[in-house]
Amino acid sequence: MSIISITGDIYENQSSYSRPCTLKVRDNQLMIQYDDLEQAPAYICKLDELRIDPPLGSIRRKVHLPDGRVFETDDLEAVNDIYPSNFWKRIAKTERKGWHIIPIALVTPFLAFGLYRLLVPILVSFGMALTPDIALYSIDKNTMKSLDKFVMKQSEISHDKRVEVQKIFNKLLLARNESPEQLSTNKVFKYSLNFRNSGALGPNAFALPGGTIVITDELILEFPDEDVIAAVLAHEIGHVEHQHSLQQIYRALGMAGMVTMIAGDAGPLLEDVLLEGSAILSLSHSRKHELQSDNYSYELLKLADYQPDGLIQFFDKMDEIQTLPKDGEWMMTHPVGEKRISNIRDKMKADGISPRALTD
Amino acid sequence: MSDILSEFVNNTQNEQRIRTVHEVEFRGTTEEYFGIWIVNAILGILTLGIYSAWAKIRNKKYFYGNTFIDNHNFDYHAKGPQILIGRIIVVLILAGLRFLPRYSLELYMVFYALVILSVGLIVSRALRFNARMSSYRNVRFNFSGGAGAAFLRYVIYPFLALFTLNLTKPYVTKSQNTYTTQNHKYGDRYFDFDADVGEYYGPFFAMIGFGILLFIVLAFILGALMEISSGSTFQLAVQSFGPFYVIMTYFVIRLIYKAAVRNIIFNNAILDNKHEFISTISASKYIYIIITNTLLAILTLGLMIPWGRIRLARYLAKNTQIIAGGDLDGYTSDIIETHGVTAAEYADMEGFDIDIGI
Ligand SMILES: [Zn+2]
Repeated sequence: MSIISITGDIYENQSSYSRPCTLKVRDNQLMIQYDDLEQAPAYICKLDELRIDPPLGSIRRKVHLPDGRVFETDDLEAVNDIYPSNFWKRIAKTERKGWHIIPIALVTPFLAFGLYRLLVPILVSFGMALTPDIALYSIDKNTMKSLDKFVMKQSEISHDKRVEVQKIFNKLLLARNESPEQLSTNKVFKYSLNFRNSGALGPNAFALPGGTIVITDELILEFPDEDVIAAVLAHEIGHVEHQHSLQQIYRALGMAGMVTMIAGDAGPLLEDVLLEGSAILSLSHSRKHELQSDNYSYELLKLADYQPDGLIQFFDKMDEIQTLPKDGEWMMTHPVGEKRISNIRDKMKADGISPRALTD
Repeated sequence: MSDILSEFVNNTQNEQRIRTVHEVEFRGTTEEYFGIWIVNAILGILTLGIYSAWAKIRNKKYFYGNTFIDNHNFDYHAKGPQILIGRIIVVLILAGLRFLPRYSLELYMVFYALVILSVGLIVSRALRFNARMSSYRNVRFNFSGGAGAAFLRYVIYPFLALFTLNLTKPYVTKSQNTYTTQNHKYGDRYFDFDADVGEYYGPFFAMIGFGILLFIVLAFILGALMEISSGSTFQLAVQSFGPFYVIMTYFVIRLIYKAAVRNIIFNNAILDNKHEFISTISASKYIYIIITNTLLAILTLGLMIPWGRIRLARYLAKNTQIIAGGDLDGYTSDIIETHGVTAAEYADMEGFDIDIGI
């Protein structure tokens, strides 16, 4: 019959007064013997009435007695012998491997990234499925309200010009309705075209999730060619049909949630960096979304009898303008890449359409 | 009559209280903590954040358990399920706050106003939860500050200070420090705190002066870079990083004040009318540690975070002392029952600066 002896200190209930003692465990029985008293060990309780702190590094272990007294010891091995939970023993054992976990550790960022890639789309599609159409219109209305308040002003474009652009937009929507199986989803969007003046956004166009599309005066003035305007508008309709904005909203939410959950205690400065970073990332469309919208735009332009290379012209011109300060925003919200230009070129080649000479 | 009183006081002082200086010791090691931290991270990711509640407890327990005064350590007592529920509620609130303005601006305003109004409640409950979950020598800390007083000091005073261009911020900080320190108890004994607002103004002006200097230097460098890079894509990078630098400058200079405030709190606090504290951290060393920690953490994809945290804990411990004016083992705990975990988690995740642990 083996006896486990654990030496340490015992605190009185809720008190900072402690004295040295030895716990003795035989079978299922716990006994205590004070070091400063010549006394036989006194019975305290059964082993399973104890609450023992889980193992953690090499910090002192505490054993909580049912009468409120707390026993504290540096003899970690002996406490482990009477500690019942295998789960925490295994966790602590893994933790003790220290540097040897580095290989696993190196995989973790990738694991995190992988999990993020796996999980966020699921969260996003969940959120999208649960979002009623009426919420979309409400998002549009409120976003326009706050943008009008802080960023945008009334359009200064002449009435005739606006009618012209509106006609292009209507023509595109008509083409979209005529081929529903190919270019429109089963969601009902409330399409509307809005003209705004905005110094801060530069030549720009963007789409809100419910179908509200905004085009800036700067863009209309910069690009008199109606093929270019049509291409940009078709691209934005593509964002709406693919519900990219809503995906971005849920993606940002998911990302912020995961950052707070996982890196919750990353340290004072780092946490700020992480949160700022995820907020900035959520602003811009992903490259994948842009390509999707470009493809959509290409198909829609063909159906509506516009030159499908309007976007190429747009990119070329924007590239020139980008070198001027303050117009970097289109880049921020719609990343341009060589890939997007070559994507359209490839499509045109496949369809046997020769590119026009660049105007200007 | 007052003579008799002062004589009495003098007499008791002449009894010569035994004053013992205890160094605060931090015994954690990077190797050991690295294992704990990485297991926390891996399990946190694999369980989609659920383990993070237990991870937080193991974290805190490790740092508390390795902080020693007079060969006795601290302990942290919160339970996993408790923290998890708090966390989930907070994540839902934060998600709501982010999503709501896109859905309905009016509803967002109402919700936001509610959050602002409950700041006092959140701060006081969070402080209480953290205090009651902490112990030293088997005796719990406690916090008895009210929500109204917290609202005044954490919402109203900072708001009023805006009208003085924030030049009265030292008064605000002092009133917050007084609130947090005076309402803390160790067992059933109170802490006391009395600082001169002048002590805050030194570091406050140092912070402003340094901030202006840094801003001018940065503006100069950025201007020069813009000039050189005009017309290239590099300019875009310079442009978009400009605001980032400004934000970082703000975070850095704030640390000057934070370090000084820690010293002020410790040096002016007294427990049970006899135990005093000393904090001697230097702002430059503190900032150096935090900046290098952050940079190394970023460069190593986070793998150096444990090293940085141990380094910071060691530095803080090394610069903290207790002058005990009597025995430290004659204390008993006050109350045990505890609520307010959601508040504590909210304060934690929103980065409220209310942590005054060692
Ligand atoms: Zn786009």
